[in-house]
Amino acid sequence: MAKIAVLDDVYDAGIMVQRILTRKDHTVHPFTEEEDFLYFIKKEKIDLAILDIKLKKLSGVEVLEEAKKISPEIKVIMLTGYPTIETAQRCLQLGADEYLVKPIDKHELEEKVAKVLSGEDSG
Amino acid sequence: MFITQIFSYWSRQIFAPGSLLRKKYQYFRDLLALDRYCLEKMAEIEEIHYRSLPCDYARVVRLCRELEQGVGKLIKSITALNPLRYRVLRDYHHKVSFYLDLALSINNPEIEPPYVLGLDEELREELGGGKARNLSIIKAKDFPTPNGFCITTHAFNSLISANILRPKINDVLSQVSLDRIDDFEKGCAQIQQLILEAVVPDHVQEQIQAGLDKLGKSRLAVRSSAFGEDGDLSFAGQYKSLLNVDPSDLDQAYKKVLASKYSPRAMTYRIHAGLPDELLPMAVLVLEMVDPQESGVVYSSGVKNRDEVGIYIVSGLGDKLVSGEVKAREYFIKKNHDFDFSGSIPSYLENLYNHALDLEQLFGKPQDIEWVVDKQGKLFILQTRSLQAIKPDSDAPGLDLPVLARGEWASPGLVSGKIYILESKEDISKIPKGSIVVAGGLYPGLTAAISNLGGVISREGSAASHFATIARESSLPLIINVSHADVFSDGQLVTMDGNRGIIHDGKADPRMLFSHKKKTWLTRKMKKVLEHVSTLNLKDAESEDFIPQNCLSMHDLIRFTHEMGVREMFALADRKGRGLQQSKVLNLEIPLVFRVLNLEEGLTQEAEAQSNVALHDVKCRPFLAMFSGLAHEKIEWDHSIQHFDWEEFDKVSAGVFDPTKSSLLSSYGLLARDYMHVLIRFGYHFVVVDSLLGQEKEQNYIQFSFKGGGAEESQRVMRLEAIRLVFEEFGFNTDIRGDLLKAEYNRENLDDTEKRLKIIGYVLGKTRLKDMSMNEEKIQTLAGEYIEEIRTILNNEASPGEIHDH
Repeated sequence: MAKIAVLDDVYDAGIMVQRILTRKDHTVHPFTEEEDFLYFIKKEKIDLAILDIKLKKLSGVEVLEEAKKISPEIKVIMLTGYPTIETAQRCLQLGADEYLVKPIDKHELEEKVAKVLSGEDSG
Repeated sequence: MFITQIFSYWSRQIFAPGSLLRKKYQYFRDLLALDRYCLEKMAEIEEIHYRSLPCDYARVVRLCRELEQGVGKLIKSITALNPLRYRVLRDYHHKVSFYLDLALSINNPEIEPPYVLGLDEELREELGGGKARNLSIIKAKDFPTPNGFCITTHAFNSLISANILRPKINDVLSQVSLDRIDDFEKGCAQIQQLILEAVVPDHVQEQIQAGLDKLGKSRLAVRSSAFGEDGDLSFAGQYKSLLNVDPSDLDQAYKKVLASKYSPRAMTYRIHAGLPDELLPMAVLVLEMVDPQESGVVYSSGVKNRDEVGIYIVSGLGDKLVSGEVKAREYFIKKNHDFDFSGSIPSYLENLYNHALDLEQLFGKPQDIEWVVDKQGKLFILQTRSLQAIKPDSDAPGLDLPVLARGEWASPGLVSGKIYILESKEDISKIPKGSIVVAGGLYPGLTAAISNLGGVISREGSAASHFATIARESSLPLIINVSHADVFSDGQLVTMDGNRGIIHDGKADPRMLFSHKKKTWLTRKMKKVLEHVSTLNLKDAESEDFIPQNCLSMHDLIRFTHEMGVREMFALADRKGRGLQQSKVLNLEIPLVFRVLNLEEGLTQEAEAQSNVALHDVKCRPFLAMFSGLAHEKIEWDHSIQHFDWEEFDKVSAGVFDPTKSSLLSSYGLLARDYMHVLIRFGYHFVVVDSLLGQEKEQNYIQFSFKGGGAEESQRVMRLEAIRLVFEEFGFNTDIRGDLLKAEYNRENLDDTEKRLKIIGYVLGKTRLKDMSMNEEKIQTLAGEYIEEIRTILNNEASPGEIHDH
């Protein structure tokens, strides 16, 4: 199954995503620090990154841009509580595959992860 | 805001229970009205997709915004009914709205420079449009083309943005539909006016001036070069070209060409192509004017025969040819045959022929080329684009119908329909939908009516005209040069075989006719939009998945809110009857202690002043319907037994006070004209009926529950089973859990719902003490008896509403 990294400044949020996706037999690595996350994906090949927009130092959009430079084929799902259409469009232009708005639900998370990993067109 | 809502909820709950009931009822009515509004909006959006309505994308966006707002208000009304329980819905509304907005969004248009590019510079289609792009390519290959420059799509975007026109344009676009031609033309004129009155921003103006300075003093041809114009869609002749423009008038000419993007013809075409306005920004070509001697069109591979080059010539300017009003001189030159160019034919023909072949080779596809020869005999290529040639399907089966007339095919396809003879161009807007139009020529105005046309037969015209190109793109059969067009009469049923250029008498077998719906940008977009609008994920209200967390579309939110609203009303007043202080005693002929509270027009005005009312004071239609069953003459009542809440009466010590005066023990009804919430206490039974009964089928419902009973539990369950059998027979959904029977009857018409209320009343009257004497064998027989009796009653009486005066 897939190798997934989650970056969310709230520790518990990352753990929740980990708990849900681990049950689907994915390996999930949660991070709260941008540097740790970027260091990790430089070192290890992962299939999917789930990025919160609101982080500690950088924005999720900047991390997305960096992540795509490090590993262009990496799939990305953006995560946000207070979305704006402009940010969302920017992320999709930068190569994000899907958008997930909080509150996060188990079914929706599972579905979107499965969809992105299978390489379906998202729009 | 939210805190105050909770406070006012609590304070009303504690201090003024009667007004709380009325307040809740008002919230509930708001909820029902909003529910209907949202369902209608949703239907409007779906209709655009499923019926392929010819309207602009801006309309979809507006309807979706209205739906979002409507659902927002709907959620506010359920939150008012119960602030704590439904608070979370707002988060899900935000979430679904965001997904919907994202699905609807189109990337912001680019407004950065360059605003002007020379034809000798590299021109991407996104910047210069197809026409300018192709001209810059052939200029670089030294084909003879006029000098000039291109005002880019970014300049157009910048003009729209600087004048803040986008909201105004989209507002008009969202209101019009091609079905209503008059409104549509008005809308087009409004937008064109906005463009003509707009100011060209300084930064654009400066670059245009710099472009002009390089050209010198010559007069100009100002032509459209829209993005996407020469791609899969030709937009042939949809936009304006202005000739002989004085350089000092360029500003106005530029805006006139931009405004032609919003001519009825161009808009009709764009909307049929399923593209939004924002995705087709317009670039404008500014060329040195060539003073024409002759002009025309070349097809590097003939429309009819791929092995020949087709050359069409008119004197002077070529616009008469392409607008279909003049028949051209035609030359068809076979490729790879030594054609003798020395005869009495124009001297430039050989040159033109060779250019056509070279251009076809350069672009790798057959080309549709506009050309002009100046007074000195010098040839210029004005435009080249891929030829949208479609071969007639000569393998298609011929029709076994009498032949009425013959002409030349210009666009293939088979169609049957009624003849409409177009006497003058002014009658174009009167063409009935699906008509086969017989016209003198291929008037440009016909494009605007293309959605109404079944096919076109014309006495004159050319396969090289713009209308013919558009007819081919729209799969509209077109037969031209029909010499005996006077054989037709208005309303005559004919069948056109566009493949062979034959018009038959009568109607063809429908299986012979095929129509195909094109997949457009809009159909693809709508699929994504509808995912967040109408897809229903919450199907089963009884399932444990029926929670706000699973609301993924507006439809889910609407469905959830309506269901919960009804449940809130169903649980309105508790067994203690709180909130009934302002109620009135309803005097009945049957021994039932009943109190009523008027919510809204549930009682007559006279009754308002009295503390005791009679049945004739009641105006509540669902209540009267139920009562006509409950008090039916076939039900016998023992007047020595008063029916009130015996269980509660036992608790509060028997006989101490008169139970008929206590709101705690009596049955009660909250009544509005079309709504009731009734709680009935028959001895040890406890029944709640909540119902809305009106003209709106989608809003009608009955919710019913039956609980309690003094007999042993096994006997109670058996009685419930008998009631359930009767209800099932009459189409209720039922469920028994323990000694609680629930039944519901939803979204049916007034008449059927009214009958079901009567049935409820009848069954309640019949079974009020039945648990005392039930056993298993009796259930089936008893249920059978009731069903028979109800059938007889319903058959004998025209309407249950007529028999309530008992």
